[in-house]
Parts: sequence; C-alpha cells; structure tokens
Amino acid sequence: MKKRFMNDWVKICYLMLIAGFVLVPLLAAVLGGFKSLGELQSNPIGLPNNWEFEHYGAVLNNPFLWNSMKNSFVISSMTLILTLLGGAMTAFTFSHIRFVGHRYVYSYFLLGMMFPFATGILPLFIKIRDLGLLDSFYGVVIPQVAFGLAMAILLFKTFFEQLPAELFDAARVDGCGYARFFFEIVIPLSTPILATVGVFVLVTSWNNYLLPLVVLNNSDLYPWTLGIMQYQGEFAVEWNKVLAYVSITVLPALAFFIVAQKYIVAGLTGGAVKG
Amino acid sequence: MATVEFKQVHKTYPGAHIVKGIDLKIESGEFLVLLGPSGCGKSTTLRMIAGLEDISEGCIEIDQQVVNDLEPKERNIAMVFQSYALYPHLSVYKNIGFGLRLAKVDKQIIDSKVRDVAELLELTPLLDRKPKDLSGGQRQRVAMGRAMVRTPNVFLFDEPLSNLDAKLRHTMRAEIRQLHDQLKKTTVYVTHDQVEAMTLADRVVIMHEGHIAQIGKPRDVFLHPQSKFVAGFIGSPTMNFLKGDVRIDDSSNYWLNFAGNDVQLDQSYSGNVGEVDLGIRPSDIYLSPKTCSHNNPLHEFEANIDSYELLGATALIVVSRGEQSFKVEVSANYALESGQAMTLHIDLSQLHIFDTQSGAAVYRVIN
Repeated sequence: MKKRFMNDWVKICYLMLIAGFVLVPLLAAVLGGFKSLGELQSNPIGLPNNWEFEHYGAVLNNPFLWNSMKNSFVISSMTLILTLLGGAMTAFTFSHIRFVGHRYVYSYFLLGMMFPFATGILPLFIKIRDLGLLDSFYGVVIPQVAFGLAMAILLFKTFFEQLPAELFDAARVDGCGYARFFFEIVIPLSTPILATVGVFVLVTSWNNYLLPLVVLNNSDLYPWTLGIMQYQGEFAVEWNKVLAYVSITVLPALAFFIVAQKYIVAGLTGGAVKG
Repeated sequence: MATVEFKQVHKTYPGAHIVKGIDLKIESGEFLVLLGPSGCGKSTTLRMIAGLEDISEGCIEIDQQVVNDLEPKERNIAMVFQSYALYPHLSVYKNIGFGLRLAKVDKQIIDSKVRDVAELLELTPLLDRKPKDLSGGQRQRVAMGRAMVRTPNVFLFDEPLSNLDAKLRHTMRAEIRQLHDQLKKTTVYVTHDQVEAMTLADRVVIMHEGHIAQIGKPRDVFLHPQSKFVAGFIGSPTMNFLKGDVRIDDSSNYWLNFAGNDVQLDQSYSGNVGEVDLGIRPSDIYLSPKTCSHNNPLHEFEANIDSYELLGATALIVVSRGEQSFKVEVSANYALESGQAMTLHIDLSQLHIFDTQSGAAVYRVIN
C-alpha cells in the first residue's frame, strides 16, 4: 500500500516536471506581455509587479496583426482542406484498390517523410519562381500540402484498413461506387483520424516560418510568423510587445486543437459489426 | 421471382483454386442452403452471385440473364452479412433506406417502404436509434430490413446467425423461414451449421474443397449421403466409420465381413470386392432389439463401454470391440457406466458402404 502511494508520487512529480517544461515558457510569454522592458530583464519568469496592459493594447490595435492573422488563417485553412481531402482520397485508394505498382507509388509518397523541409528550400524556391507562384498564397500552400501528404496518407491508410471490409460490400450491394462510399460512409466514420491529421497539419502550417519567408516578399501577404519579424525590426528591443504578439497569435491554433480534441475519441465505429 | 443458374463456374486466385466448376440451378422461390466446412468455397460462391467477386471462368445467370459483368446494384439482389455491416453513423431508418436513397427513389415512397419493412420486422420503435444502441438480434433484423426494403429478386445470406447466441439463433432461424414463406423470394443461404441447413432449406448443397459434394432435400442428404465426406459431415453426433471386407461367393452373392461377422448384401451393392469403409450412425445402433421400432434385420454383437457422456435427452456412449470403437446414441434413461459389457444391435438397413479409394457410396438399403 505504502509502495503504491510512493509510486503515485513519483509519477506525479515526473509529470509535473514534464508539464513544467511546456508550460513555463508559455506562461512566461503570456506574462512577459504585461511587463515593462526593465522588469522583463530583472524578473523574466515571475508575476509582473506592475500589470501594464498597453503592450497588448498596442499589438491588438495594430492593423498589421489582424492582416497577418487573416493571411495565416487563409494559408492554414487552404493547406488543411487540401491535405485532408488529398490525403484521405489517396489513402482510400491505397487501402481499397490493388493496382499495378501500388506498393511503389505508396512508398514514393512515404519518401516525403524522410526529406527535411529545409534541405529542399532552394530547389523549391526555384520551382515556385518558375511556376510564377512567388508572392502568392499558392506558393506557400502547395508545398505545405505536398510535405504534409506523406504523414496524412500513412495515418489515413492505417485507419481505413481497420474499417470492416463488409461495410464496403454492403455499400456496393446498396449501389455505392467508390466515390459514394468514400464520401457517404468513410468520411463520416473518420472524424477521429480527420481531427488528428487536421491538428497536425494546421499547427505545422500555422507555425511555418521558412517557406513564407522565402516565397512572400509583399508584406501585405505576410502570415503572423513573418509579422513578428516586422515587430522585431520596428521596435528593436521591445520584447514585451513581441511576447504579447506571440501570446495572441498562438490562440487560434490552440482553439482549433481544443475543438478538434473532442472528436479524437475511439469507438465511433461501434455497432457496425459485432464488437 | 428469379432463377439463379451456375454454368461451370470457377474461381481462382493467384495460387489457389477456390471454386472448381460448379453447375447448379436454383429454382424460383427456392430456399437453397450452401453448407460446408470452412474454406470449402461456399462464401465465395455466394459472393460471386452478389457480384462482390469476379467469376474466373463459366457464367452465372439470374433470371436467364448472364450477370458476370454486372455491378452488384444492377443484379437486383440483396445480401445480409455475417457481421451485419450496418452503417454505424446512420440511424436504423437511414440504414434501411440507404439503398433506396442511392437509387434516387422518391422520399415519400422511401418513407412508406421503410416503415412497412420496420413494421414487418418489429423495428418501428427503434427507427431513430443508431446501430450501437441495438442488441445483436435487433442489428440482425435491421440488416434483413435493409435487404428486404429493396424488394430484390434474390436474397443472399452469408452466415447471418453465427454471431448470435444459441437461443436467439433459434428464434431468428424461425423468423427467417417464416419471412421466406411470406415473401417467397429465391434465397441462397450460406452456413456451416448443419442444423440451420436442415431446418431452413428446401434443398441443401454440400460443398467440399470447391466442388459440390451433394445436392438434395435435407432428409435425402441425411439418409442417403452419396459420399463418405457427406456422411461424415451431416449428422451430429457424427457417423461411425469402420473397416469391412466384401467378398463374393460361388453363387455371385456379396458378403460383408465386419467385426468378425458375415452379412449378406443384396443385389444393390455396386462396389468392388475387397476392403470397404462402413458407415453407421450412432442413432442406428440399439441397446436391445425391442427399442428398434421397425422389423429390420439386426446384427448383434458384444462390446464394452469405454465412456459415457450425458447430452440431455440422450447420452453418447463410446464402445469398443476388438480394435474398433464407435459411438452409440442411447436414451438417457439407461443406467450405464464405463467398463460394462453389453450386447448391441446394429440396424443393417441403415448401413452405408463407401469405396475406400473414391469415398463414393456403393451400397445403401433404400427403405
């Protein structure tokens, strides 16, 4: 009994330590936005002595923030929709149709996971330039989708293969073709995996810095990650505003995660077959 | 109403020959059961009728129309699956109406059809529920409703009861038969459960390693198995198989020697001289001549009881005589115990003789 009690405490301490690693920097960023520059240097982590709301106010009142948030939102949503749709359809094909060379094509898609984004940035830039997509959202969205597909296809395919095969047989007898089955049966049953892949893709896209930096020159098209650069340039040492900016821009991704989390639950297929 | 006809149908996968040339005609309105052990090709055969598997060779006709290249939905068939395969995200109502909705049937017609079927299957109070909130038997009925609502020409059942518990299986079995009597639709039903086959079928097709081993009415298949395989597969407890010898005397009479006794066979014997396999059902061996109700010739022999197993109304005893041992089904009223010596009587009219090489039945007294 005592031993178990000790075990629990060890676990709790360990988990608190891990949580601390994640939460302390976040908290420091949120609180940093309320501090003066002087206090930020003398007391970087603790609660502020004087709560100064003007930094958040200044950031929120700057139209540049809203424009860059809007740009980020457009880029991320397009990436999200295209990756989910393309990934799910491709994975469905791989899990249901055996065509000549399907293994090779599948492996080819998965190769994308072994290829770090940064190493490809130069050829990517040249290709985007040649396609005339510089300074457009497509120039950011299309490469992001391409790099996101590998992981999405892997996760979707594993999930689709676990759907009972008789479901497809039943749907075929009822008159479904592949497309009908995909949209009417597979997609509604795939909310857990859609949510999982969705969170992954959206957060990656929302936080992407390098690709927009290379592709976008017009500051009207900047997503928030580039907007932060602008801040650093304008207010060279005003870290409190930067922290306030970061705290605000993290919120949409967080909100999406919280909403999606609800759907990441097991057992949605309950009742299809005896289980 | 439709007939289903198989003409030299084969199914091959790379490295496996699953169905090896089936010829079969299923009459309009008939309830046909495909019966066989796992892997005999019965489910594949059913799936070929449904259009879920391609036909490698030969052709299948539904209502005299070759359907080899038709999609499942164009064949006007409906299928009930072993795992029910209900759509988990749709209500019972939508599950039943799904096929009609895909066929772009008018909404009001769908509504009335779904409600009619739900009424018939006593599903009306459950129409708004999701499959996960239903019991096994209810899910099974929804699966049947989904099949019935489209008023297909042919019903296909793929081991629909094997996921249910014994009691429910019994009830659903009766319901399926009752529905068939009501709807009079051509039905093909796959099962490995011989009780289901015996109780439901107009005709049973017994399959073995991709071939049809025998086709016939349940009673005929039980009483007159055409091969050792069928004889051993049908009937529970299973048939006893013994070794015997057939010889021919000067006046061309065949004599069977088994367990140390000679029995004369009549002219219907069509086998060869030499070793044969004998089959006798456990229920055709009696403890006393009086329990044998008809005046058939009995063969008497001494044996020892090796084991006694109470099954309920009857008991199964295993007896041995020399090196041969076999099962006997007796009334549970007898007080018997292991080691006891006793006289047993074999009803010779129920004796089956099979060729040792081919397994074909070569002798059976018809009565």
